[in-house]
Amino acid sequence: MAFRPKRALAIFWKDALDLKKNKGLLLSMLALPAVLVVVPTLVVYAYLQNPNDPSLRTMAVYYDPALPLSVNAGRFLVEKTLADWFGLFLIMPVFVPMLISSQSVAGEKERRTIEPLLASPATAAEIFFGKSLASLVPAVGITWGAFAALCLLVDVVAWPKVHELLLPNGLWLFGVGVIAPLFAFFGNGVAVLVSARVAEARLAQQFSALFVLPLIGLVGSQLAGLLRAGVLYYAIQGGVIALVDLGLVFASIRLFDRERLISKWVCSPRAFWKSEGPAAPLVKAEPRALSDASPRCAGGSGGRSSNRRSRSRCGGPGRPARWRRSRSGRSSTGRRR
Amino acid sequence: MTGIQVNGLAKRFSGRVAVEGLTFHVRPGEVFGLLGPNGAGKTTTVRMLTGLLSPSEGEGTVCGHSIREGGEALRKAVGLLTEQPGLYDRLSARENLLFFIKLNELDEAKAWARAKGYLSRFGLGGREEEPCGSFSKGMRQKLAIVRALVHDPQVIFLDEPTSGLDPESARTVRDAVAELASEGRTIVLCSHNLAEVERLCTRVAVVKRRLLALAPIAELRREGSALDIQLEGEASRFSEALRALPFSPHSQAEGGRLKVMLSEDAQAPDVIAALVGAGARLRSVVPMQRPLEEVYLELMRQEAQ
Repeated sequence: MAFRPKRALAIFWKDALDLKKNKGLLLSMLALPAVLVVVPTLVVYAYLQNPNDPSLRTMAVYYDPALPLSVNAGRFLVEKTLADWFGLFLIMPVFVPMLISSQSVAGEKERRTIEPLLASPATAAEIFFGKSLASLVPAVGITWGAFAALCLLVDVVAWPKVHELLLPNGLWLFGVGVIAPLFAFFGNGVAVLVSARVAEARLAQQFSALFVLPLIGLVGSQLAGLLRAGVLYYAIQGGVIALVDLGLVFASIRLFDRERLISKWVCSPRAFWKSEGPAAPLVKAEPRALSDASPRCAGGSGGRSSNRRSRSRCGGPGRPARWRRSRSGRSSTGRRR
Repeated sequence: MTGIQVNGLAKRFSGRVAVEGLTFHVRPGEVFGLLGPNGAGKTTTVRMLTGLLSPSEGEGTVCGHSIREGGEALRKAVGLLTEQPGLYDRLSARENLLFFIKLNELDEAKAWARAKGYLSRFGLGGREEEPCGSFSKGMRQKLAIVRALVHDPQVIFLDEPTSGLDPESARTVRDAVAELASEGRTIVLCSHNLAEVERLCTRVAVVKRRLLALAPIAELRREGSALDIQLEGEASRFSEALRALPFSPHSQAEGGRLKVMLSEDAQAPDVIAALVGAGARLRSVVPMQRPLEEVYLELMRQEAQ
C-alpha cells in the first residue's frame, strides 16, 4: 500500500485549520511557554541585581565547592540557571504536542468524527503522519518562538549588568535546534499511542502527562545539584529520546489501525492498564434449535418450499441455549490499515 | 461488479458475538434494507463491508473488492453515512467537504461543483461558509449525506439517513436515494423507519446477530397473508367448511365478512373452492398484506422465544 503524501497533508491541513479555530486550546498551549520564558528572566534579573551578595556566593559554592573566589557568584548562578532551565524548557516541546495530539486523535473519537475519517482512502500511516505533523509543527514553532522571546528578555535584563549577550549560547542553540524537536516527537508519539486506546481527549491528556514526570525528576535532580547539566548531558538525553522516538513511530503505526481505533476504547484508568477493550457484556447465546432458528431466506418465488430450499444457504447451526460471559483479551482478528 | 456479496460473515469482539453467519448479496442498482433492533449487528456489518472492521469469519466483496484485502480501493468505492454525522464543528461546511475531497485526491473544482449541487438540493446552498457547529441536527445530517456522496461512490451505505430530518427534508433525501439507485449505484439502507424502508427498498435482510430473514419486501409481507372475503348471508356458517381443509386455516367471521389467515399464497384457491363448495356466494375476495412493521415485530417475537 503506497504512502500518499497528499493525503497526509490533507489531514495536516484539516487539523491545523481546526487548531487555528480552537481558541481555548491555543490559549492553554501558550500558558506554559509564557511561564517558561518569564520565570528565568526574573531569576536572571534577581541574580544580577547584586551579583556579589554573600548569600549568592553560598549558593554558588553549594553547586561548585571548588568555585574560585575570582568568579562572580551572580554570573555563575545565572549561567547555571540558564543551563538547568533548558531541562525544564524541554517540557514545552513534549507537552504541547501531547495537548494537540490528544485532541486530534482521542478528540476525533469523542466527537465521533473518526469513523468517516477511517472510512476514507487514507491509510493508517498517512493518518498518523498527518496528525503528527499537525502537532509537531506548532510544538516546534512555539518552542522556537518561546526561545526567541527568552533570548530577547534575558538579554534585555542582563545587558545593563554584563554588557554581553547571554543567550543564545551553544547549549541552547543545540538544544532548541536538535533536542527539542526530538522531545516534541516523543510527546506526540506518546499522545498518539495513548489516544489510540482511550475514548476521551481528557483521559488521553492525563495519561500522556504521566510521561512528563521523569523529565521533571531530572530537572529536580539538576536543581538539587545531583546532576550537572551541559551540552554532553543534553546530547545523551537527546540520543536516548531519539531511540525511544524510533520505537514510538513503529509502535504508533502498528497500533494505529482502523479496528483498534473503532472498537477498542477504554473509559477509565483501570481499564487502560488492565484490558484491551471495553468490558464485554453478558451475551445470550442462541437459544433455539436449528429448525426454529434458521433464517427465512427467499429468492424470486415465495412459499414454504422455497424457504426450505434456501435454509441451507443462509442458516448456520443453532447453538445450545446457555448464558455465557464473553472472554476478555485480545481480538483474534487481523488489523486493518 | 458493483454489487455486494457476503458469505458466512461473522464478527466477534473479545469472544462476544456481534454478528454471525451472514450470507446475502445485493445487486447493482438495488436499494437494500438492513433491519434489526439496536445492537443487532447492523453497524458492525456495515463497518465490515466498508473495510473498517475485519471479519472474524467469512468472506465478502463490495464492488469486486474483498472486504478483507480491499483496503484503499474498497474505501474509495464506497460512501458511508455513519450513525452520527461526525462533522468537524469548528470547520465550515465547505472545509468539511474539502477535507474529504482532498482525502479522495479528487479534482477540487469538479468535486466541489458536485458537492455544491448536492448542497443546493438539500437546502444548504449559501450556508457553505458557516461553521458546522452552528447547524441544526437536520442540517448536519444532510451535510453528512453530501460528504458520503462527494467522491461519487458506486456503493453507498446509509445508516438512518432521515434521522432528525423534517418531513420535507426526509422526502428530499428519499428522492435522492431513489435517484442514486436509478443511476446504477448500490445502496444499503440501515433504518428503524420501516415505512421508509418499505418505500425505498426492494429487498431487506432482518438481522439480530444472525440473519432472521432475507427476502423481497413484497414476499415477506405476503408470507402469512390473509384473505378478506365478502359473501352473502352470515359468514360464520362457512367456518366449519374451512376447518375441514387439510391445512385448517384460522378464520374470523363478522356479519357477511370472513377473514381467513393463510400460511402461504397457494392455499387461497383451496379456500375459495371450499367456500363455493359449501354453497357460499362470494361478492369479493381481496388478498390482505401485512405491513412490514408487523412482519418485523413477529420476527423479533419469534427470535425472543
